[in-house]
Amino acid sequence: MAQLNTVIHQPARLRIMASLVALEDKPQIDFSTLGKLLDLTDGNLGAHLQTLEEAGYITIRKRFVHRKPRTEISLTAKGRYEFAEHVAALKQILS
Amino acid sequence: MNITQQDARNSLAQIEDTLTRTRNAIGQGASGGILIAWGVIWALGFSADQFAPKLAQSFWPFLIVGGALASWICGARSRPRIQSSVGARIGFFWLALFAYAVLWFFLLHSESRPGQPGLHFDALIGQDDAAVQQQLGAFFATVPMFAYVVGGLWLGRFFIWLGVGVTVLTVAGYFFMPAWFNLWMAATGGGSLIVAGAYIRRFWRQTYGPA
Repeated sequence: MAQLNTVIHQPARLRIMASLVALEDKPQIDFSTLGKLLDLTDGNLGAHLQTLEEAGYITIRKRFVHRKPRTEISLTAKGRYEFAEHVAALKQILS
Repeated sequence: MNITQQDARNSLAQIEDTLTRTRNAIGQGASGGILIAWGVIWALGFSADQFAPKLAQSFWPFLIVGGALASWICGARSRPRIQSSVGARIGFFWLALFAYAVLWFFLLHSESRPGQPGLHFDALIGQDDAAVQQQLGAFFATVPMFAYVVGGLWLGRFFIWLGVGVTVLTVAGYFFMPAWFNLWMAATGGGSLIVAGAYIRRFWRQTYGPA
């Protein structure tokens, strides 16, 4: 039986994970685009990303593109699995 | 961890909303520039068909190659912001669609020539018959619109309206003003794509900022 995930269940983190899952295979999105997509401030987004990274659900990579710093966020296999489990648990509650 | 059914319903609704927003962002990321590029190509190509049909026959292949190149550049430019296999899949979908569209046109055209089976490349290149040229124009103008209508089911209603709108304009021009069909397509078809592309670009820049 699928279990609810306390890390993912928080609304902002739930939306971050959903956004990364929507990108399907080998997803990657930059920090500012993700923040604007989800309507989250930089500080808020940064804090939630740190929590997800510590749980091993995402990876954060910083690099320079055309001399500008860019922070790229990717979903890990563990993160994808845990999100699917969480969604299954939510659906079980409704069934 | 225990939550109520209402909480579960809200969470699933949030997930669904985020999936839709993200898919829209993937679809819109490159499509503004691509639509503008193809709008300009339609305007140039159909204008050439109207005013210099002989020249147009050798002009179109260059325009199509230029459009494919511009589409690829627009896709590559949007990659650093959102990188997803969905974007690559959309690219392959367009390639497959046009490969099939060319095949269908050959099949339909060879059927109209009893006793002459096989692929008639003059159906596409070096076509002197104005009526077939217009069929060709209407066919290849509506094929991508079909793709926009279908793609709009996943990427947002805007694309459905764009596809339906340009299809209606194409059919209206084909049947009601055959003498000015190419000019009509240059102005309304090309114009619609340019306006739609500019609208998406503006929306994208306002939402996500300059690339």
